[in-house]
Amino acid sequence: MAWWDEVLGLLKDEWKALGPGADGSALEPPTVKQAQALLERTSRELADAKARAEAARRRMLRAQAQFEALTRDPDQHQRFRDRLSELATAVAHEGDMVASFDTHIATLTAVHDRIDAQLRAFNRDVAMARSVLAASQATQAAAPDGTPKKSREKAGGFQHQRPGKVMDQLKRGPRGKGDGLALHLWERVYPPSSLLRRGRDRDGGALPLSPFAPRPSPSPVTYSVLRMKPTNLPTRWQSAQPALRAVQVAFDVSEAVIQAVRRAAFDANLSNSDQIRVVLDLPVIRQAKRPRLTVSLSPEDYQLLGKRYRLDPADHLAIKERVNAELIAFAEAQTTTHTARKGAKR
Amino acid sequence: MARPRKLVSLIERSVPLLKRHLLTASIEVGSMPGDVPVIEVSFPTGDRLPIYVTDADSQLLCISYLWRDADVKPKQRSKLLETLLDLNPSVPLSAFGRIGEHFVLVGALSPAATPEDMALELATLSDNGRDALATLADFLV
Repeated sequence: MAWWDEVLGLLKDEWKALGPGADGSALEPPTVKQAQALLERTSRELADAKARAEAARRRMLRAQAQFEALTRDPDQHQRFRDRLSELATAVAHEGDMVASFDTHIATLTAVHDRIDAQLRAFNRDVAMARSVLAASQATQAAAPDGTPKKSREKAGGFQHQRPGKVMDQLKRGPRGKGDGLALHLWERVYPPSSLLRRGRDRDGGALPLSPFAPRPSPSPVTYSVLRMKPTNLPTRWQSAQPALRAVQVAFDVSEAVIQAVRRAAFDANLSNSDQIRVVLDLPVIRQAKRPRLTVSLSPEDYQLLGKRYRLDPADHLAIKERVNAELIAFAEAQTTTHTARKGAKR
Repeated sequence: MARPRKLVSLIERSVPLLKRHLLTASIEVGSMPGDVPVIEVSFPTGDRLPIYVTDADSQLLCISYLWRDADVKPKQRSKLLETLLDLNPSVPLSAFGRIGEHFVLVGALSPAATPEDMALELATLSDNGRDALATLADFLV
């Protein structure tokens, strides 16, 4: 459980570094906050820059259009028109700048999106760490004597208060009439932990103590919801059942379609997408070719194969030869089992 | 029926946001025929699992199928179940669950969810699905 262990490990480290107060409250270390703030600020600044660039681009385009309109106006003094056309040329020259603005904006958008994605991933990690923390705090709050270590320190609970002799006696069970009664009373006050966990004593009476005790609910929802009779479920939960069944059907259908398409595509030497085009009567551009077997081997693959065949990993030709031999052996084995199976059927 | 259309339009409006969240352009939305509307959101390129979204009246359910009972190493089964329960509180917005013989990852939304909510839910579920498969591979055959 690398993921889980990592999260827990990190949390423990942070916890230690922070030295949380007695109330168990702790915030993320300042560095996490800083990183978050930095990502958020970058994202905001990029959005601003993008908006500014966009606005500048629009202004430039508008000015260009206005100049062009003015130049084309026929009722104008000749000199004014000359001057205007000069200006228009200058603006047209600026048009190149508009184009560069476009690419600039595209780059900014891409960077912005990437930062946003990073921020989302980061927030997700932080949220995950926070919920682990919150969950562990909630557990501690619900079960103050939860960990055995703490119980020992506080000497809380029945097992730590009573000497071993009494425990032994309890384990052996009642010897005499008086003992039996005592035991009975004893257990009603201090139930053994196994019973405590189930939340009921032997007489079926509810015990108030354990945080792990299930609430006295008449509906056991421990086995598959789909197999359950709807009457066993709380009414508010029943509405999800048709939806779950519909999702199940949708998933099964998708799987069946994928399998059918793959099988047909294999038989027809087509790619899956071409097979779908065939089913839908759409034109297929590539014609079915004689299937060729190719595998692209990476340097790592050659390392592994070199080890496997006890050959120099650099000797690609020799390795490929062995690969071919192995594939041929594989094909022969396949054919034999197929024919054997066919023979058995007859 | 107005509801199926509502679900479709909610998801369609969330797709542009989802594309930005996941930094991918290849997202397909398909509707499955049937009494209860089921929308399939799939990612043709990449290693992301398809997500099925459905309207269960009191909630919108988003479900990814992870693996089957048969895919679990028999000896590791109870350990896996325990691990999934352990992980549930810390997995953002999603929870592990079971439908029939399938292990699923499920997220639920209010019926009044906005496209932004839906996009965040789908992006998170998709990330979680990918992480779960990578993380829990040791338990699978």
